[in-house]
Amino acid sequence: MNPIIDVKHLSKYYKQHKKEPGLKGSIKALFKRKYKTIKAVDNISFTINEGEMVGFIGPNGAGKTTTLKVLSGLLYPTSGMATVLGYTPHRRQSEYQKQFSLVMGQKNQLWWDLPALESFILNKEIYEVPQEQYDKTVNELTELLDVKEVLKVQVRKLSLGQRMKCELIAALLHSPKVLFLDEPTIGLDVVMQKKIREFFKEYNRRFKTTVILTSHYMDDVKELCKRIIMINKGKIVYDGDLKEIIKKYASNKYITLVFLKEVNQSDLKKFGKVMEFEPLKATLSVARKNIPQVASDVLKKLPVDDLDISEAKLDDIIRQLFEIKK
Amino acid sequence: MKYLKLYKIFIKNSFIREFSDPLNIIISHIAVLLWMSSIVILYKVIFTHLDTIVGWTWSETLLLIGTFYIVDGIIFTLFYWNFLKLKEYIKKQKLDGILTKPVSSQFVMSTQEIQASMYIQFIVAIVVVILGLSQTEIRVDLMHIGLYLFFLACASIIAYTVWFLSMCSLFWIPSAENIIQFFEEIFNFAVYPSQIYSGVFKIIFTFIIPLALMVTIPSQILTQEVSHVTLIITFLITVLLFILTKVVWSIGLKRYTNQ
Repeated sequence: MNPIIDVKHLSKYYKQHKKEPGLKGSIKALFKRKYKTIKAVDNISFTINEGEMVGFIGPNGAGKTTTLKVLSGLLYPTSGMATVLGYTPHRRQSEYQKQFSLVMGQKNQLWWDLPALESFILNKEIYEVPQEQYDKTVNELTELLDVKEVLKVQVRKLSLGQRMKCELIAALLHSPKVLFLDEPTIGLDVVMQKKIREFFKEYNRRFKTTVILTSHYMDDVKELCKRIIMINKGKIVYDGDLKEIIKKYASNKYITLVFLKEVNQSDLKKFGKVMEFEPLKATLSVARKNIPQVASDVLKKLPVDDLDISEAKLDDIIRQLFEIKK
Repeated sequence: MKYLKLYKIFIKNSFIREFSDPLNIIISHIAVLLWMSSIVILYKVIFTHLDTIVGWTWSETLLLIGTFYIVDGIIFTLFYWNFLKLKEYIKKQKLDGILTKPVSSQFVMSTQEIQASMYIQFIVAIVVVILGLSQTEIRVDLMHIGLYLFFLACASIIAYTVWFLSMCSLFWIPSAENIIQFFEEIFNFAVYPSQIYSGVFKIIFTFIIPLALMVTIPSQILTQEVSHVTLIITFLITVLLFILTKVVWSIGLKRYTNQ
């Protein structure tokens, strides 16, 4: 079966004008411009099949948004090829545009001083959605997101979470086959992030939409994606099962401890690998499965004032992956 | 059909938005009335000392002023807020949302915001035109009125294209605010009859920035004889300018998406 999204050796370079600082530099720049080539996306290739929900993760500036913009037709590739549903995105054909949706976190597309419902009607006409399908889809989405009472309220009077939910309905009412989500939970509080993730999970389950989700939050991806593509500095660093990566590279979590009185580094070594150490503060790396036991041991045996358990940082995982690739 | 439906939605939305604030409407009504009256009074004062200005009598001048403010009213009602938004969207790279949708971005950016409360300017301007006509000896027939309305539409399109093209300069020169302001100011020159231009200015304001044609031509249709050639040229320039906006917009978008 043909993949829905097919990317081959895609590159996107920008020319950035380099200027020396100060007035002298500005004048020099008038006569001779120095350009630096930024490789936002550098020879990446991947395919995505129907119904897959793939997480595209990497640090800021890694090339995630650039890739999505190329797939949405907002950017021309510098070289290489990308097709979605058989279409070349940058030709921006309406037959293609009616079949996908791009949702960018924190970017509002709803009309600010009108009820969300009016924006829905506008999108209905733009995407030429038949009335029956529109009614059915909007009802279904409104129920899933639990926003029935707010549809007739002016968007500017809604809370951030309610607004985001309405943005999602507007973006999905034409039942797109492909969904590009660019940092969809950024800026939302923890509770709302969870609700939005649950919504996407259910939506993908019901409608078998093909989804690419970019994020720099591991949690977004853990909840929703079986497969992840890790991208860093424009290159793909890993493309595969999420569970594998967690098993191999994020098998440890970090315990950060703040002490009431000074402890010796040697005292800590028996609990786990010491990553950071100051007389009153330390961070240990401990295997996931041992965390509950180690945490309770540490609290019992050391003068702990505060204890914090956190995930391995994405940067660490990527760094590890890079080391391995070398 | 689809674009007609979209336009109806835009009109409906603008009415919902504007008429939710009645005080604003009352104030804008009064402001327009005061302002238009002051312009008419100013010209009346000038005409107490002169019989004609470059060959235009008082009643013909009234016609010219009225026609200008009809076109001006059309532009401000239909396009002004859109141009403000367009400036912001190009500079801040906010066009992404529209570009991914199956709709003409030029259409949406030119029509989505309508300032419904400006309708009062039409009404007053039309009254001025009728006033001007009533003071002439000329009987106006349906054909002339039809032609007048048609070239009013052409005038509006010309104004739209000139303004729109100046906005497009933002694709290439992000700090082109000055250029845009220049065009906005220049637009006000269209209220003067084209006879005030001569020589090189006549060419510039007829063919390059067709201000001379915009308002003068429709006004002249009602009171004087306008040659067929002039009418055809005006129509052709209107069409050419409109096509130019589509071409320039599409080239501008190519630059926008290559960044």
